[in-house]
Amino acid sequence: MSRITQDTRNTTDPASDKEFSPAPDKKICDAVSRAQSAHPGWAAFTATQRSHVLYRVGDVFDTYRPQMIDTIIRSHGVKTSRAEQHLSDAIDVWMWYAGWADKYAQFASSVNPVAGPYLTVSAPQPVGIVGAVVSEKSSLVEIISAIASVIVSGNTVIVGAARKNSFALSVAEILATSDIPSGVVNVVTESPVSFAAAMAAHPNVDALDLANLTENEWADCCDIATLETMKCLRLPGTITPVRALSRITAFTLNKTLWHNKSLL
Amino acid sequence: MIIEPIDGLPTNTNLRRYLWGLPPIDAVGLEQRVARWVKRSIAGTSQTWALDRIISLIDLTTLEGADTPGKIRSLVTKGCIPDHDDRSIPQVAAVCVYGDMVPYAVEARHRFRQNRFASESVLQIAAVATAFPSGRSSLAVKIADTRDAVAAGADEIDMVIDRGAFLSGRYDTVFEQIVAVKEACVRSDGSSAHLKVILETGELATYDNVRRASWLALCAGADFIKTSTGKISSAATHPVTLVMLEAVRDWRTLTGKKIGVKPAGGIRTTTDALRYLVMVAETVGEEWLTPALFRFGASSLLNDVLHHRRTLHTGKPTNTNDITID
Amino acid sequence: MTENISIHEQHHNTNLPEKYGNLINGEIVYEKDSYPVINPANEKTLTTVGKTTTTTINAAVNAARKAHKNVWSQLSGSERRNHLLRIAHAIHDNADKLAIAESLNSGKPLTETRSIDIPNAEAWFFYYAGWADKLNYAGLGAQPNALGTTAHILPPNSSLLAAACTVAPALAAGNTVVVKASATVPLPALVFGEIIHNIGIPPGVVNIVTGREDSEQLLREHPDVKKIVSIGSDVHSDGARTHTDHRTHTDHRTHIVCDDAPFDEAIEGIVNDAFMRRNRFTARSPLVFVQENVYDDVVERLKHRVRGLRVGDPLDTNTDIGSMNCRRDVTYFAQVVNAAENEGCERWDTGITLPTNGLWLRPTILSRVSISSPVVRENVYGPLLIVLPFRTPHEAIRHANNTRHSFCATIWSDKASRAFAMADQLGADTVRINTSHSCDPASPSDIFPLDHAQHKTGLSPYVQNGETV
Repeated sequence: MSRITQDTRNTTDPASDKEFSPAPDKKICDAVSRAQSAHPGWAAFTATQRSHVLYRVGDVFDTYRPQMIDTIIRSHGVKTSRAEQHLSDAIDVWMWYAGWADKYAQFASSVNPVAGPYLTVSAPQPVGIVGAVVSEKSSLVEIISAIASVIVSGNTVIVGAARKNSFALSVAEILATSDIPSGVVNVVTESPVSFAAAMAAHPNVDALDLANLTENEWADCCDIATLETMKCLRLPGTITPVRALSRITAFTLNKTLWHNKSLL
Repeated sequence: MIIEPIDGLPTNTNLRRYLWGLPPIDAVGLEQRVARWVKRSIAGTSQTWALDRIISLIDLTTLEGADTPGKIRSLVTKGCIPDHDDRSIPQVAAVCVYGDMVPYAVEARHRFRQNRFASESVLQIAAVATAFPSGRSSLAVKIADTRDAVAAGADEIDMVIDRGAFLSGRYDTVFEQIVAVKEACVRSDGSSAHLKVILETGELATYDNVRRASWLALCAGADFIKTSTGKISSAATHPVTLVMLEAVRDWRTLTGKKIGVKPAGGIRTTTDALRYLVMVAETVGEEWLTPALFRFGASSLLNDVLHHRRTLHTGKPTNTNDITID
Repeated sequence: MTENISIHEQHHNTNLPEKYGNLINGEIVYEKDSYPVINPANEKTLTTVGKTTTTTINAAVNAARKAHKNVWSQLSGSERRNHLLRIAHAIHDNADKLAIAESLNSGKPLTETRSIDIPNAEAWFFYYAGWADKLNYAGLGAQPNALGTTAHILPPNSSLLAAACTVAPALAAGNTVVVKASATVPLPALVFGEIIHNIGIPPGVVNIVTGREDSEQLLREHPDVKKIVSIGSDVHSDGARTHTDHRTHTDHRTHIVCDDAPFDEAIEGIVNDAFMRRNRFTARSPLVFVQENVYDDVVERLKHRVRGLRVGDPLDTNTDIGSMNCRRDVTYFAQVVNAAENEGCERWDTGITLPTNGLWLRPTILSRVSISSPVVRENVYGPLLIVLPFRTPHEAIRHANNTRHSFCATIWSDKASRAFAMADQLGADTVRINTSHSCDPASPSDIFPLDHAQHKTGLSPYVQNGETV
């Protein structure tokens, strides 16, 4: 189950007559700690187990078809057939990533031909806690791709969704009914810029996916000093297909192992 | 030979050499081996036999700060008559209590025997000793603790090893303490209380340590090796018990002597207990399935077995309140 | 405990229909003539299967060819993925049925078919389902082309797993298949056919036929069969092989027990490998090299462990060793063991009384064997361990490598640096350290060293020019 944090308690401040919601820091910090406590367990799943859990989510998406299609029609103003196709494509993206769980490591690992009596191998490890920004324009396929490509390797994710994006929360609701362990996917609604800033500043966040930021949003974000502290960072600009192995490896780090070899 | 008898005096150097010369354990292989036994099934008539056998192997235990004479009497009664409706059910092997509760257990057993329904074997009274569960006291206190319980009439002593000494490599300290406690088990008439040595495997952490501690206890003269105090969360597990069974198996090959094994703590269900029976039978042989060589340290296991037994006989689920609680 | 074998009345619902048919073009088709399928544990007739005719083989290949051309090759990778997932789910849902079929017909204990064969068959389909939609990543070119129709000849042992291991990648790569069940152990494949024939897989994509060598010959000679995948030992004839032949390895297994081994685990692993997990399609009994300073002790421990094994009814969940499934294997086993004894080896077996009916053998250990003993070169299939001494790791490597066959090795040693160095120098396809377990679609394995030796995904044999890319 994933967790959804939504401002359901919006009230009006009598002094300023302005709407206020719980402090974003608190909301984000809670999500980060949930992601943090879920990470060791999720990363310890065998690749096959992760693959199976993710495949089963595909079936869960199928059961929510009508609601999802409604949402697509409302946000994109497209016809039903188009919406259906869009949804099928999104589910397919999810299934595509599900199949990578027990495969991607072979494409990112190596036996290193070092000059000495050593067995040296490098293999990718999930980076840890990843923040992913969803802008108000991000499509369902983009969101699915952003979540699936990050968690397939064993990362946990905090999705910061712009308030006006209607997909992020429905995806979160659907994932909440799946077998994905609680805390692996967390969705908070927050403006992309302040979410990016909060994540970058958070000491327990390891990586950040900003590829979905719009140009304007990125302009507001690019000088966040703490971005440099991220172990992995995906920036907007280059267009990557929604199905891409590089999206998975963007949030993994190589671990290299050395061991002596001697018959004597 | 893969394992040979220990040679020379039990100095720390000799003990260290010996224990570190034992074959290593591969944890993955060990756990896969256990998984194999877990799949065995016991069906039909052998199941009734197995359930009765489990009951006769139980050390019915209460080790609470809140234990009272009344609680102890209740425990003894339950141990002697597990199910009031079916007197063919064997009594449990022993009750296991704190040292100061031994007199009440002895008294309860005595009263019981005066108007009893003729049972061949005598319910044993086991006392935990040596600053149970931590073992953190001087040797003098541990010896006094043991003598006290033996004098009060305990048939069996469950001592704890000094895990601190073991983990810091002072094997001689552990060895000497077991030897000293064993001496303290001797009664004035020259007979001796049975000594069970608790390794507290949860604190030893690794399987290699469990193997070494088992052999250390065997070399020092333990009559039984026991997994845990039941006071920390990682208690008896299948792999740990298997390591200990393999130690007594190899000890028998080496010396001809049979030593007992007692998994304790966390065994609550009949299914789990049956798995232990299978593991014992497959590792050291069915001859080990007697109270002299195998025990379950447990409190809630007994009633679970009784429920299973009734269900097996009547073919229907039982009402929880049909079985007495202790 | 294991003094006598009793073949219990079966506790499982094993009432089989009187006959089983072939799966052709999505339909179960029965042949006019049939022959009995035997339960090797008691040599009673289980059911009957059709004697496949030339017409049937042609119909099967034809259905596969058409299905490839008109349907399967037109589907997107995602759709093929979903079909493979469907097969995986069907295996999962019918696991017990399949396990019982396999055990009844092959004599392999139910505990094994249930915990190893069937879950692995499922895993293979799951794994390759994930390849169907990402073939462009498989390193076989941007758009690898399927061969067309492949024919899969199944062995009598682990036939369902054998089917899964070859059919799953073939389907994922875009081929349609004709599976020829083993002549003596056809039941697992036919039950599999029943299970998948109504789960929505397009007709003709998977076809399953029975038959003996003649059916196989027909498949070999059929111009529309683009590749013959023959697994294990069902093929005994050295008949002409076409260039399309893709034969998977005979796996020879070798264990090397060093004096610092985790012995309890080594004993269990070796006994498992030799007597229990015979999830090999064909296998020589393992050679066990034991360092001489622990040789006697290890042999004693092996005997002690083997004495505890239960030989008996394959359907009894407490059975460790079931029956054999080939009369010839049984006779040959006796010949080889007797000869070895006459050549100075020490023969030990559990001495249990065997039933008069059924194909049974006693678990046997041959010790005092040397590398020059003829028995070392024999290909004997059965519950046998051949134990040889060695003095130094270097010698163990030399002796283990002294074979023309490819093999897989297990090193039992607590010293990793030595084990890795030995792994380097052993001429084995797979080297395991302190485990005898390894069967996973995600890893190159000794089951399909040829596939994986060339390409790590195991897909290359099933695409055009796959081997050379």
